[in-house]
Amino acid sequence: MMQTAGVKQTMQAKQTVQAKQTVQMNQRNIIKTILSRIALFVVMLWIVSLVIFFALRILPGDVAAIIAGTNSSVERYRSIRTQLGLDRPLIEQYGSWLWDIVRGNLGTSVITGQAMGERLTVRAAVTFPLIIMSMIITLAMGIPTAVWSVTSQHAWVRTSLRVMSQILGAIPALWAGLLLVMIFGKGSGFIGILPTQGFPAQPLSSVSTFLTACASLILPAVSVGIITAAQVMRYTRSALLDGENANHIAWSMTAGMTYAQAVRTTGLRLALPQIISVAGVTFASMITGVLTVETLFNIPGIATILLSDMSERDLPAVQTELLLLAAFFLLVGLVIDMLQRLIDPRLRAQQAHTNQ
Amino acid sequence: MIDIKNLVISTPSQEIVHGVDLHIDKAERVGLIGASGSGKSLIVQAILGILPPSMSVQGEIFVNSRNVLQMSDTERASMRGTVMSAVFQNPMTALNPMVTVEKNIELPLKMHYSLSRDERHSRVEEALTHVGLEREIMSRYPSQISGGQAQRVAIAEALIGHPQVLIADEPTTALDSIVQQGIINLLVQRTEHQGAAVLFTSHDFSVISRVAQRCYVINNGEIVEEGDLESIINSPHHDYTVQLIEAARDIAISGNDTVDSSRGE
Amino acid sequence: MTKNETTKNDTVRNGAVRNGTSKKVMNKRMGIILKSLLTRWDGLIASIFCMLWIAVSIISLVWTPYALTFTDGYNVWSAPSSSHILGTDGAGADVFSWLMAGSATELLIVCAVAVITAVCGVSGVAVSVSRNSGVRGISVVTFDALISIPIIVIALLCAAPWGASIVGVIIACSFAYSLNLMRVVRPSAITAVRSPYVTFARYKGISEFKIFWTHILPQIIPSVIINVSFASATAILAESGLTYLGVGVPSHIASWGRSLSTAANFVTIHPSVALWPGVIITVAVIMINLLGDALRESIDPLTNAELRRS
Repeated sequence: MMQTAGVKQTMQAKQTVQAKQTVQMNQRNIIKTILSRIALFVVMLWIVSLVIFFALRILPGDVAAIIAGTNSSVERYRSIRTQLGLDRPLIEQYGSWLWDIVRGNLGTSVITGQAMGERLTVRAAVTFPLIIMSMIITLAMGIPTAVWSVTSQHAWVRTSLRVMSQILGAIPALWAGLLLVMIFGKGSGFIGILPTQGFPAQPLSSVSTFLTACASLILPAVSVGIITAAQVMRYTRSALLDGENANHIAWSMTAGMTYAQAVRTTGLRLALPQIISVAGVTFASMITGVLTVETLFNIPGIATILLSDMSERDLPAVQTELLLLAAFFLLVGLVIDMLQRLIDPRLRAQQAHTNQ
Repeated sequence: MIDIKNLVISTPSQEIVHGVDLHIDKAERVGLIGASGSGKSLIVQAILGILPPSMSVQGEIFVNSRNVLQMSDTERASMRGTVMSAVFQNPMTALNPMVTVEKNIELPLKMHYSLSRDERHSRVEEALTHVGLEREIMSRYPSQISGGQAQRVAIAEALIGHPQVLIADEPTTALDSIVQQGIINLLVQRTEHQGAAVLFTSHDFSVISRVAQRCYVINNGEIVEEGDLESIINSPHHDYTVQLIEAARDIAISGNDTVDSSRGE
Repeated sequence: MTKNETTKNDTVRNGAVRNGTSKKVMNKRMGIILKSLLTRWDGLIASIFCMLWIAVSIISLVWTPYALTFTDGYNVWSAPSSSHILGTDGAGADVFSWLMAGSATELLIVCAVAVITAVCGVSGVAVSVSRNSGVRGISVVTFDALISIPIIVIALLCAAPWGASIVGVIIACSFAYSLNLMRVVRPSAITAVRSPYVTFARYKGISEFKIFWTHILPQIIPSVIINVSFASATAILAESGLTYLGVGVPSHIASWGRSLSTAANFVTIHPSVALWPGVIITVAVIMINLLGDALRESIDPLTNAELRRS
């Protein structure tokens, strides 16, 4: 084909403009998606708040009566009711609760009289590091073992990894904690090096208390982490072996990779959306495990406070705590969702088509 | 340059390819024609060394006088992309959907050569022009291009390492008939330009007749006929070959037209 | 009757004419599935274990070596012996008897959770792929919101008014796992909905229920089976955690979680008592998972060659 220099230049210019337009279009779509997902988050949080509020109101057990005590006078009981706002219609109570939260006022615990915000922050500062540690252990153990179980040259490695993941995934968190205590617990275990009870009161006050704090979190984090690691490993493994991905892996091999290389690069990359989604689900299911180990290892976190407030019928406190917990997990879900869209171009392409 | 002797491929339960002999010379275009399930794809996978481990292979496959079946994984991997490469039936299941077209095409370069990013970028641009696609496709993702475009991208990737042989396993079967013609012409033109040999498999004689100089007919895992394209078409020996010829809609008997590769759709 | 004639016994399912899908053919298919299940090594082991489990549970309803209320203050925390096969706990009660009785509770929980999860989960999937886009949208948003509520919270909500109860455990687990099933099975359902058969059936105005039953349900069954077995297995694990936290099985009812919790507080002094409940829980969970895998492979014509041939 004969082309004059001028025509060629125009064509190249046109191509650059088109390339820029594609990039811009992709960017606009990403922003649209983020905004709509955040809106969705707010809606879901609202639905959950409704469920929490009205479910708790079914509970028998009058907070006012508990606070007032069994021998109190009727006036005192009534005044406490008014103080808590229990005599107003339900909708009004719900409304004012939400309004308070939106303004950042987490309320006051009626039983202890302490401001909720400060109480919860102290506890959260213990639980969240625990959760994060567990998550790190989960991913650091789960994903490499999954890759290993697919690519290893030795059949015995592959089989034993699969068997181990089956077994570890079947252990109750409580038992895992107990076994770890039996082996590593200070004072009673075979290799008694790690603390099994309690948590220093002021973890950040000195280096040694900080180290003790970290050490106290190790056994709990490992108990929860190993079990969820087994789950992540099974899902990752099945994503890597997915028939759909086999052709992509074969194609990478055709370009010059060995099977192991192709699985580690292409396979993992393809499995990433699924892994992220699994991470999100295991994160949410970790909460029961975290509650269990917090109780077992006597860690003063959000879990234990929730349980004690529940047993004391401290309605306002429980309400807010549950909402915060749910918000935390919905937020995690949001982040996971966004990550997935960022990572998987196929989802973006669909978005592009529907927006046209 | 490829010499296959007595190739036997079996699954755990049955033998599928029964003692196949095949030969491809330098810069020669060879067709392998047979129905789905006749073993064509298995032979292709065996040559490339990407058969699933559950399959067992016997026989010899010599590529440039070295027996591929006795090489280690790493040695075979080093030959893929440089000495031999392949294009498959469905480009959408092959191309990596997670990365851009550019990253897909430059993969053989990254694996075997140490080039700078800019050098790779310009080679990818060059490769795209050769297959008749616009430069701006580089920044798109495989999910954003059509099937015909994707197959051209696959061809660009397969040829970017200047392989000595390109294996095309039913590359046009999944494409519309109009698009098919363009892809066939593109393959013939580019491989001639680079001096590469071609092994082209298909179930359709009319497609093969546009590509191959020499042809093998495979039925149920056995080669039933081989020879020059013209002699097979004009005087087929085996019943199966006759059936295939009759089933083909229009055969280009006068040879292979080399038309300029038309622009991608 | 030649192959091409259709009789009144034929049904058109997914476009394929099945000649005479009568009861006889269905029974034959069941037979093949059962046989495949039992010839696989995992299906066989799991089935044997489940039979044993059921047997022990039934027996425990009428007899255990020692009554559950039996306590022997002089014989607390004793090691396994000829009179107490697995030893005694802190109150002097026989560990083995409590585990035996616990197996009945676990069996109840497992079966109840399996059934409820299957029914609710599948219904949820049906709603979330319905033809009405409003219904679809609302259901997807609601389910995704509700999934974020952890099991423990639901168990707390159930336990608060009425105290800890087995029903609470079952409700909490079924709720959470149904939602999980919906999320995981939905992609397969969407693929099934996009098939031309469904589009045509909708165009013809066939009811959503019938469409779901004939076209979508068969496609999602393998996925559902895996998820239901996973749900029932996880229910056992959840039960142990919930009971430990006080919102699971009440303290006077035997369960494996109860046995584990009783031992937990004294694990540093008497580790062996915590061993057995944990072992039985782990084994049971593994067996249920194996059963689910084996069942899934036996039911799916793609993996079960014999079923394909029938």
